[in-house]
Amino acid sequence: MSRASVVVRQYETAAGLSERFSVAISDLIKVQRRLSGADQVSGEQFASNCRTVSGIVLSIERLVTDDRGATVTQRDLARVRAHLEHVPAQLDDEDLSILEWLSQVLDAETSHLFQRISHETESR
Amino acid sequence: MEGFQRGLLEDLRGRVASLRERVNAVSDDPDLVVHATVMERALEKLDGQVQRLLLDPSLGLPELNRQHRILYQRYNQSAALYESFLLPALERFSEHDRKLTRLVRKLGEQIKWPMPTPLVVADSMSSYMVLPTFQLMRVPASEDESMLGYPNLVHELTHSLLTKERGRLLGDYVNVLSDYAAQAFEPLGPSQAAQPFIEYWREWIDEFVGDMVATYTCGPAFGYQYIRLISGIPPQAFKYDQTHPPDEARVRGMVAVLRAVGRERDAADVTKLLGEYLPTTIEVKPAGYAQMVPDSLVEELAKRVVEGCKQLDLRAYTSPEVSQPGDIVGMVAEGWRRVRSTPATFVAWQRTRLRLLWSQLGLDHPVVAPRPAATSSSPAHPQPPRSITTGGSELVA
Repeated sequence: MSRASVVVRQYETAAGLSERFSVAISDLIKVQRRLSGADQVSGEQFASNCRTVSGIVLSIERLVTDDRGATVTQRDLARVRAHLEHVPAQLDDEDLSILEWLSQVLDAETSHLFQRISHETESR
Repeated sequence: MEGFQRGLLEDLRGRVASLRERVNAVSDDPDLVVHATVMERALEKLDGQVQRLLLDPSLGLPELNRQHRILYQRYNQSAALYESFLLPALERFSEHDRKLTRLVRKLGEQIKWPMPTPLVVADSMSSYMVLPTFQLMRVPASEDESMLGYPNLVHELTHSLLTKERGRLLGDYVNVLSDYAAQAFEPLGPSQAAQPFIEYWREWIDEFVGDMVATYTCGPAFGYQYIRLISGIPPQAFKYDQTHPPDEARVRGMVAVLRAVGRERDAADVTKLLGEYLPTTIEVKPAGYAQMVPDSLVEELAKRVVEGCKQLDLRAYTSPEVSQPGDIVGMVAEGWRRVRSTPATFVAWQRTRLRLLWSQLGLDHPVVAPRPAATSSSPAHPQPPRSITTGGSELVA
């Protein structure tokens, strides 16, 4: 299988994650900030979104090492997760800004993989 | 911003509708109908996602602009992938593609492949490429004309099989890897951490398993074809990267499968050929090579893959002296025997055998009439692909 196939597979995984994360965060933000459309998010869907976001945060938390001077530390992520575990979650502005930052990181990684798809040609 | 966002999403819906019209225009071809349906359904789902976002009352709220921009990008890129890979394969489907698609379908039937076989197109600039999501395989342009490489098609099929039968093919192998890493690397301290080893193997497993399933079903011909493949590209006998293990270890994996199914003579023959190939690369094993790809790990994986193949009831290779008409694995095995024993007459023999094969696959005359050029009278709303009757069997979209 060529490297391009591997990159497409990695892209699909990252894109699925990024999309689910953005949909879930959008719903969380709507409900937390009582925005238009918040009433369309059911309690069940809200709880499901919390679980989705919490799971993805946990995966990312494992990758963040505090000694690299990361913008967000493991402690920050652990706190966001703790808040997500209490449904209905009570996320503060700092939590939401961390989640937004994470969605940008996922988006950047996904976009990088998308760019790479057309650049990979070597295979065996 | 809201007007702009709505405009982008409506524009994307228009693009998706256009893609659906184009894919429906090819869905009357019996070799394409299933794949056209896959794309049509994916585009239908994508259109639903875009439509949902358009109906979301929060669209345009500044607090959500970032997330909505990301979602638009995801949807746009999803359409772009279908546009880049599957649509050109469907619209430019050639007679070479048809041969390969039917060849893989027939091969799948013969080795009792447990899932649908993909659309195969001969347009790859990067050797073999398989995209399970699109049920698409891309191979070099003249691949149908050389039977020696056919066993590689099974390696590629296995990448898709792994998406469904990973547990059955690997068994508890992940534990074997972890135990080995703990034993081999952790005593050496943090500088020799096991983590890079695990990360490499996580990607390599799929390549090893593809080789092993292809060896289980096609026998030593897969080993020969692999050494043929690597003889024609820059050597990586002992080098490795994040996605592909070193060639020497891969061939050891094929040999381990041959031994696990009791084909000692074939195992010795592939080992001998590898032994003749390796010195031509002038490569030496890097430090720590044996620790990175030890025999024990390769053999443990081979045992599990052979067990998985048995559980899946895949047809194991047998070695016919003379292949039966239509038996693709047997024909390739005979081809390899002939090319090594009487190379000067091989090409003429191959031409005759392939002509017979294409005839058996119903390809000695055009399958579909040339398509008329698209006109502006195409339906504004795409219709789902129709059911097609072909050769007595109905393919339902």
